[in-house]
Amino acid sequence: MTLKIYSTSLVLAAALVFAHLLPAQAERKPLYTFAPSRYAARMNPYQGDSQAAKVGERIYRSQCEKCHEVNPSGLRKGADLHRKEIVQAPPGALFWVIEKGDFRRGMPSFARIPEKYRWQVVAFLQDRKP
Amino acid sequence: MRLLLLLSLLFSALPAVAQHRPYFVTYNDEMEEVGNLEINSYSVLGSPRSGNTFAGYQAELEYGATGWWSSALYLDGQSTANESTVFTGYRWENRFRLLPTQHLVNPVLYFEFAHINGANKSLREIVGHDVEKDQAEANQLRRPEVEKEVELKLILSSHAKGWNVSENFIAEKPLHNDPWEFGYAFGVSRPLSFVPSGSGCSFCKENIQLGVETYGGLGDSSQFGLRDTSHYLAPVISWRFAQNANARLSPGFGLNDQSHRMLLRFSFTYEIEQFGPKLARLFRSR
Repeated sequence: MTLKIYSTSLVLAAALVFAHLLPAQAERKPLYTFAPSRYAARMNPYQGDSQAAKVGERIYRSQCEKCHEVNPSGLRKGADLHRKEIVQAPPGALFWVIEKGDFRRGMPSFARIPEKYRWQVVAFLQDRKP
Repeated sequence: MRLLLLLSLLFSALPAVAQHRPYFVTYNDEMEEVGNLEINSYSVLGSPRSGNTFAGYQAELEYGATGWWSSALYLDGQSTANESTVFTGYRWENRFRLLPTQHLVNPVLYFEFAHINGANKSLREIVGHDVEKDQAEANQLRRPEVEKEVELKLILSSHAKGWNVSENFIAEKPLHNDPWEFGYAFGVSRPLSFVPSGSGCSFCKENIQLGVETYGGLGDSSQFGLRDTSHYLAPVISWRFAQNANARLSPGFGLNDQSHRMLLRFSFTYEIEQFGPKLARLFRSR
């Protein structure tokens, strides 16, 4: 039994090392394009509300910016959210990405943040000029 | 030189903004961010009615290997008044998130291997027939008992309207002939605010999480149930006092005669962002 535990531990340790050697994922379709239609069809209750977009911006700065903006090393970890297609995307599809996340794509879920604030982040993203 | 580079890597960490679970015993579905290293110092103070006051310690290094896998190494020790301060062993914990996206209930599997001795008083979980009098026995009597054990947990976690609700079902098996031991933990928590105040203050509401957890033993495979088990109810508070540092405090109150009257837990956490990739770059550039 002890031997099995040590073997399992060794396998896990090896996997821990190899997890970092895996090649980076290639560019793929944006995550929001996979949103189910019932989500994509949802309208943002804060669309065009500049006050809500300001709150959304504060949440974006604290939760999203570090991955979605270029860091001091000149790299961006997550998708570029300044693109025109983000402004034009169905708001419900962006909301879906924020709520559900997808760790296969490195996107964490922000379901811990109440729905109202997630919509306000969407309002901020779509309020910006690309 | 390499040591200096490593130290500079530690202190050049970018600010981390993720909220961490406020609980001490209950786990939720939040995993360590990929490439980040979390250094955690944990202590628990207890005063058994028929023994000496003790402090259990744990040093933890947790690393986010992938989006679905976090791995942690723990070093355990304890000090008992009028007795001694002893190293009590190590643990290796792994958590695996089972579903790639968020659902109503998010399951995480937990696997731990522990090589500890009988004097261990870290009390990171309560299982089987763990009771107050276990911590009242003298270190010199308990220390020679070396235990190797595996621990499995099913972690279920949900988020609704800003609240986190988590349930843990615990099964622990010593690798010699002792039976499986069972336990539970249940926690509810919520940050005081979700909107950053924008002033960069430490005492702002968004930096504080409040919650409550309850945990205890459920007997073992030969005597399952609440008989001769201990149970606790513990309010928890977590405060992010700097962008990458966090403190937690929890007084746990015993709910029956087998429990400690109170266990006071506290911890400090420091997170180093993108430690793994930085370390890899450091050695690649040599």
